[in-house]
Amino acid sequence: MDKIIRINMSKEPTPEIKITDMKGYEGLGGRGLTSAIVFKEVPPLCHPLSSENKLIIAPGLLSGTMAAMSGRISIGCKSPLTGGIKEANAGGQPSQMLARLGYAAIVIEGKPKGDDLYKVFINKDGVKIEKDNSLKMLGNYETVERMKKEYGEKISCISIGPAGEMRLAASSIACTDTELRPTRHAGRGGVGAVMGSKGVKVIVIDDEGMKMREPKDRERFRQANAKFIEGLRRHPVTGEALPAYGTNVLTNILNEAGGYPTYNFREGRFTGAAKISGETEAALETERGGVATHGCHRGCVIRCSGIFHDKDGRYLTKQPEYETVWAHGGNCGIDDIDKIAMLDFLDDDIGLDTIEMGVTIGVAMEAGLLKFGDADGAIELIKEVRKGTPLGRIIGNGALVTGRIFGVDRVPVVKSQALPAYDPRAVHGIGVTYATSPMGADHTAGYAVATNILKVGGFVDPLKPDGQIELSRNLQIATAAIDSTGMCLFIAFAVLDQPETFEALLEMLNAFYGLKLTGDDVVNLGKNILTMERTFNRLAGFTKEHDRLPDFFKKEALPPHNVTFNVTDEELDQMFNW
Amino acid sequence: MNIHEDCAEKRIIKIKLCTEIDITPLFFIMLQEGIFVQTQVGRSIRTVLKDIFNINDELIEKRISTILLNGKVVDDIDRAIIKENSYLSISGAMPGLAGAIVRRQSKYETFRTAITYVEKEESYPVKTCCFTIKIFNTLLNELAQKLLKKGIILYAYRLRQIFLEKKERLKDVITLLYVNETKVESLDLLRFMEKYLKDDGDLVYLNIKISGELQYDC
Repeated sequence: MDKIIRINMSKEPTPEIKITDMKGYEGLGGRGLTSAIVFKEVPPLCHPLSSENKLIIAPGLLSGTMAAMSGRISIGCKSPLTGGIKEANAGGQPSQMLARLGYAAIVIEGKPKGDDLYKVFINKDGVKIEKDNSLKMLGNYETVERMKKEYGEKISCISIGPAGEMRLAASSIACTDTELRPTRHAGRGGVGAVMGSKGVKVIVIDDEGMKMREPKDRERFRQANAKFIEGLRRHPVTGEALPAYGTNVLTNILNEAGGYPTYNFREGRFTGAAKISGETEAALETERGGVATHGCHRGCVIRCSGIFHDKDGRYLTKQPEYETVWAHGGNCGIDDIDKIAMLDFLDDDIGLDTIEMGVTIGVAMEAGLLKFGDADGAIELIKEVRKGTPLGRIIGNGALVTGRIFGVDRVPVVKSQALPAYDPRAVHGIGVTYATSPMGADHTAGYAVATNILKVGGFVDPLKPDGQIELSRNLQIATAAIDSTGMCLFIAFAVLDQPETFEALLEMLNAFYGLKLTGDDVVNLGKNILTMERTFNRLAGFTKEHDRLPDFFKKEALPPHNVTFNVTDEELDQMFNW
Repeated sequence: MNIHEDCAEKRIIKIKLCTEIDITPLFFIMLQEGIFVQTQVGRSIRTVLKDIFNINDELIEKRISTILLNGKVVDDIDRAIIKENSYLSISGAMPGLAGAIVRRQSKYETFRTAITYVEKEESYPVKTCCFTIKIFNTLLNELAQKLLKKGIILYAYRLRQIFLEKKERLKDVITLLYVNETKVESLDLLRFMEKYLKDDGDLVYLNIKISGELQYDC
């Protein structure tokens, strides 16, 4: 994995493909690589849809190896939604395949003059790009079907739907899963719009003839991987709760804690929660002949996903995750899991971020465009996006735009990106991460990654008043580093509690690359990534005032516990003082 | 409807179901929404859990990692006590940062001080009460059957809802039915509901036993 594919879409008469080495980016992968390229090569003040922006697609450092859970792919650019730097990542098969072909990244730069649409094909023989205007405005599912007919069934695809082609700020990039369905999305920040602005509809990857990437020390790597897998299987979250119920198992407990944002963040508890919980969802999947335990990429041992069938027992979508079920469910007052699954399918097919769409529909409900609980109305709104009607384009540009157009003053966004499924008034520490992450409101930006094992900035004292600032900072540093490895963030649950599982992860990296990385090196990597991202944002015009939650979180008490977000601006401003 | 007055006055219809197979999963949604269980006011959460599920400390420590009382996260299950109007939620290990935050004695407690349970020093009457319990996650499979075997209290309308929604799956598996300890001859659920579950506000004490094919075992 020592090559970068650079595709210049500005070149006439056809886009130019160059294969370059890693010079200047040695040792980087995943988010570390995407953010470094954006930082060094994209002018911070450029328009995100202009030829100056770049779209970078990068497997993680351990992708394409025997390492379990290493199938995440990072996609970076200047975000059309936030106006800042963006890294969105996804599961599925492309990361492993791209890495096995030896590519550390695909960089799509420039912009074609006309409105032609292109497809890219990558295999062991090289990289090809050709026009294919027959793909215009196809959904992700149909696009993948066409690619299967053309290239066979041993491929993986990275594609955009109509939303990306329309350059909507909530558009995602789809990655195919193990069944070759476009269900795993780099959802956040409008990365699909950047791919659309480059005129690239789909990237097809075929790794036939390639082998697993070989570690420097094969036996040491094998042992570390075995220890890592054993740790994941032994832990009650990664070994039991996630495989049984998926991430949506969180619905009930967040709801009980009064931290489940409901009716556009007006309340912290939803009466219909049990009807849409992970426990209920899994039981329904099993009853209908779907699958309640399923991996999104080969090599996944947690298998938190599933396959959701409709009432007639036919495939509808993958198991909607917690964030999706919340965004389209509780946040909109919808307690019908079948309707939520339909919304998930439509988002995936059109190529939309489910969190942004759910929150946007909640804002539209707040505006009176439709009533809370109107599931059919929500489905119709998403279909408007596909049609590209003026209303659909407003919705497809996310919560902030929709709030502005319809005169709503309660719009739950940070840096223009919709808040995910944890109310910051109930869980203040997550609110700190929402406010300060360079990515905009992002629940994955500060994940539970063994901060005390890493001793990032020392052990956190929960009694200290600034404990949650310190903790959020440590979590963000650790997450930035883990995002570079290609590892699924859900490993965090096991490495959080089991130091030996974290050590096994570090050992895998060291055995693979012949390194002697320590916890300090991991911390430094995380800090470097965050520093680059923060610097890019500052140069793009972001100030400390962008590191704030919307005012209503400080003023409106959240039932049932009637709490507000009480972390001060001064405390938030200490976040990146390391 | 006042669950505490009704509980105290013991105006409760006792229903016992014997079934050929385990029908616990049919009650999972209801158990997530909450049912009532009787206990003494003033007992600690630990004592109550041991009593109603017949489990030991080791199982509580290993399996019941997340506990909320009245919607707030409990760290000390020996100090937090059950009173009238209490509602208790229990769960196995939860994923995500949020899951780690709401865990008992979490390293991330500082993130959720706004929703951490603090036991108030106050007096309370020593009496029997009904409190609400909700069961989530892996504990549904691990504890629900024990609870249904011991007995739960719920309003008649909720049991009627279950019978109506699941009647096709129930009709061939109920082998014996008792009301107030008297065997009911007909196993027709519709007729049973018309006769015994017609008033929404009635409280039902329900217990379910799996007899297999051996009816005398019920």
